[in-house]
Amino acid sequence: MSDHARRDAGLIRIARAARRTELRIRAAGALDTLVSTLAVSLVAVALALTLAKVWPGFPRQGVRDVVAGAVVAIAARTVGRSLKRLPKFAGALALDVYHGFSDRLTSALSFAGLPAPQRTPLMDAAIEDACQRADHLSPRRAAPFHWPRDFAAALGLGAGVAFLAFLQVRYVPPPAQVKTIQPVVLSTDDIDLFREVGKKLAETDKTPEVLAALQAYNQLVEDLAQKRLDRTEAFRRMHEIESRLMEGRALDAKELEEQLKRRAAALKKSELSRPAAEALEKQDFAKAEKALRDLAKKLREKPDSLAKAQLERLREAMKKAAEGQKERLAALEQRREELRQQLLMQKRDADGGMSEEERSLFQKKERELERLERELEGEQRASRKLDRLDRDLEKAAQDLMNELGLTADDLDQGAEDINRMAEEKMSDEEREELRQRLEDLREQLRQEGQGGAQRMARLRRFVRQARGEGQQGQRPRQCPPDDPNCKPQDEDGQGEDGQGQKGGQGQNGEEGETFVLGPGGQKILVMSRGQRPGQGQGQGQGQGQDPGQGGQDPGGSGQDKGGRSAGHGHDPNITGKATNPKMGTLDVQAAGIDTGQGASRSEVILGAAERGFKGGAYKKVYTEYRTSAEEQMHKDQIPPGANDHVRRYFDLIRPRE
Amino acid sequence: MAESGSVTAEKADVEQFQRQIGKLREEIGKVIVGNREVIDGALTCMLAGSHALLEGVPGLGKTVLVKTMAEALALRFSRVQFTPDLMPADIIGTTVIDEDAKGGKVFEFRRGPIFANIVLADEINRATPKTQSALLEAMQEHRVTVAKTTYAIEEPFFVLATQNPLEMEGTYPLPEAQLDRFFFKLHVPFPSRDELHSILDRTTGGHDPTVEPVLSREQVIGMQRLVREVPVARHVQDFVIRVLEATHPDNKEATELTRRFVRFGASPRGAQSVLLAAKIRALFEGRFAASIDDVRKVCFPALRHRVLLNFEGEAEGVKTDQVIEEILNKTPEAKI
Repeated sequence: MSDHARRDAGLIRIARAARRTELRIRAAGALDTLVSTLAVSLVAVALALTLAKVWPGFPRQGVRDVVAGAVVAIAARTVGRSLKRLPKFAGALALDVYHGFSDRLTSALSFAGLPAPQRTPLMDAAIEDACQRADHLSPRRAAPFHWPRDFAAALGLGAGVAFLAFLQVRYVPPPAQVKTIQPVVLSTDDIDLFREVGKKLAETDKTPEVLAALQAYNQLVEDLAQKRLDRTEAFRRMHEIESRLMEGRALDAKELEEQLKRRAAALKKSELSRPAAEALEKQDFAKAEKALRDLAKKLREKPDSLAKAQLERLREAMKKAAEGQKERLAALEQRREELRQQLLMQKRDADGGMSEEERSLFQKKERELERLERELEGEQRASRKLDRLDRDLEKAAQDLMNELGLTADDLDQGAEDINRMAEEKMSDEEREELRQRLEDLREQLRQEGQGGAQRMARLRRFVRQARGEGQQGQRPRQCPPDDPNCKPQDEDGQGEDGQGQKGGQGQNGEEGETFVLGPGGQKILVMSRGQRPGQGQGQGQGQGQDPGQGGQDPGGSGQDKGGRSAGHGHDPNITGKATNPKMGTLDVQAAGIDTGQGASRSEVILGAAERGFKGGAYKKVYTEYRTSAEEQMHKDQIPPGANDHVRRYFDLIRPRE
Repeated sequence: MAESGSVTAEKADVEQFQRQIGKLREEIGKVIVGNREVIDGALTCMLAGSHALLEGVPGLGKTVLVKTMAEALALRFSRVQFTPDLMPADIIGTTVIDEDAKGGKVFEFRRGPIFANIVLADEINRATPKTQSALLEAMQEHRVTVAKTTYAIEEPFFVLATQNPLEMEGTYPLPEAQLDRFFFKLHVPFPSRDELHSILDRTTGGHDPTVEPVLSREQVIGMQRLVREVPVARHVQDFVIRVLEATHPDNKEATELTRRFVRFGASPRGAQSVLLAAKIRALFEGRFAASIDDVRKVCFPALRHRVLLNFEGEAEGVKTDQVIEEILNKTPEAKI
């Protein structure tokens, strides 16, 4: 073999060994990448598995997706790494490093790649030098396969994933969270008030709509009492009930009243229809109905008793009553149309601008037009309501010219219509009452929200006192110094201040014995013995309890008002002899008598403030005062903004059972 | 077999080179104990036709080494002790008025100590920059111009400058541009205990070793020529370039230390020095081509005076050798 051929063979061996080494480098790199990617992928799979085990909401497909993604990532990275370009002569360099050839092989391959003319003798010498060392090259040792650096991690993660895959995690559903609310708290007193209102409204017959609204109202009050509603829900329910009430509510009650008055005025002109007219004027529908029925009966049964002139006046009156409204509506409509035309013209003229005075006038007319439109609308609605009555009256007027029997039927029909209106009116009043109560309830909820716990505490205290359960009963009773029967009450006495009979019976002080009329007409001897008039002797006082059980408030049958406590001192007019110590004694039982002539209003109120809002007297006074306040409110004597406060005040001080 | 004969001749040349270097080392070794790297470094500089800067504390044998080398090479040797009052003319030479044979007055140039094959510039940093410049210009150009007349310096011309790193007072540190003209900067280390024993044995006894000249001037020039013919594979050259780039803080190849502590990286002259030194090292080891290992070995002396640290590097006491070491560790042998 020539030197040339030997050198070529050597170079081929070197190149082959270098290629094999490069392949091993690629394979080792790919393996390293595979294991590293596998480790990362296993972390992802472990996470997905953990989520799938502990979180029931994790999609089952999720684990499969993660595994598929991991496989794709591993394959892609491994293939990419194995196809990655290596530096030139990477294999030869690895061989040089392993065999300690100081780049002889690499340099030889590099020089061999040059064209022959460019090669120097030293290059050839270098190539030959390398070829002499080409016999024992070891690619396996130059590029050995080491354990990938992440092998242990991948192995551990693989075991972990396998464990996770077979691990059965029992899913314990979390205990259902009880939805808590912050309930609206109303005092029991207020709840009682609203319950009473519900009961009161339920006592009368009513339309199905009102009945349904009333049921919803009662349910709302019960839910509030049971603390089942928060503020939002309470307000929502109130709004719902109110909406239901408003749906069927008759509008324009005032308009209706006006129109009825106008019809009444027309009907008054006939003496036959006057009773019905007067009743209508007062909105006493029952009476109006009866009057019309009476008239119909009269027309039907005793037509001869009626003069022709009377019948003619009745016909005129009914006709006018039936048509009067139509005329009024037509006039209103005409006025509105005129005003509108005027405004349009003014507006057209004022395109170039208008003075301050003109503008003011224009605005005034605009406002008038609006008012007229509102009025017309209200009139029309009221007219629709009275339409049937009008038709009946009109027909009656026509029939009156032909046959009285038919007229009587028409009047009966009219009476029916009035009866229907009466029912509607009652229903409207109830609705208004219920709506007003809802408004009160809403106001209380608002105040409850603003005042907080302190306000509620104050309110509770007030309600206790109002019911006569106040602390006054806790106070030790102080006995008058001259009352031998009085026993001082202990600190924890159980007496109720509000129950006691405070006012004693009063008599003008007169020496000697006096009989007074007791309960059941029984005569009772009262010994005045020179005591001052009106000196109280209530039963409770003698027992040391506050108050006694048998007393009535106010008690006493005297002309003067009763004393508030046992008297002391002596009558200055005493002129009798000195008491004979040897004389016999007489036990006297004194009792207060309810004669209906009790204490004045102020005393009743004062007593109620001390002992609680109970008793017939207080109820009477309360009703008087409340009625007066309602009247004032109705007359707008009280600022509208204060109405709620007034009503609330009276609710709070209402008599308790 | 013409090709084969050529290869054989080249092989013979390389073997002879290796032998001659071996002889030279042997002769120098008669006087100098240890310091193999310093001796090889100095020889490398000489064979590259360039100059070396020796740095070491006094008493480590720097002057003796140079003197011994000169004796072993049978070359003309001169020594210049640099002092602050040394003038350029004291190194280069000066023109004096003389009488000719007829008794007439003529200007005659008296050559200075620079006109030698081996020049020892002892404690070069003690001379003024002006004097240093005069020496360095001659080192670079291998000729001297005086009074419009240029005088060539005989080849081989090899300057070995020494400097003491401890005594900085009253010295004129060489500027970076002038440092770049030295092929290598060699650190003369303190000898080991065994080496100290040998030094003491040799220098305190009655025996005075004699150094025989083993290489003629022509042989040295022949060796210098062979050095230039040593081939370098592309991947080795590429490695040198990447190392050079890595010394520049703004380059993408720069390492962490370079970015933090280097002000200026090595110049292309640094890459030339590295490659040439790698070739010489390959020849020292009887190889026909330079390798990456050769480059790794010569990078420290060839680049340590060419990589300039910034203020932060100097403040933190970073050595340029640390920077170079990191570069060599992090630069892959081959890259796509």
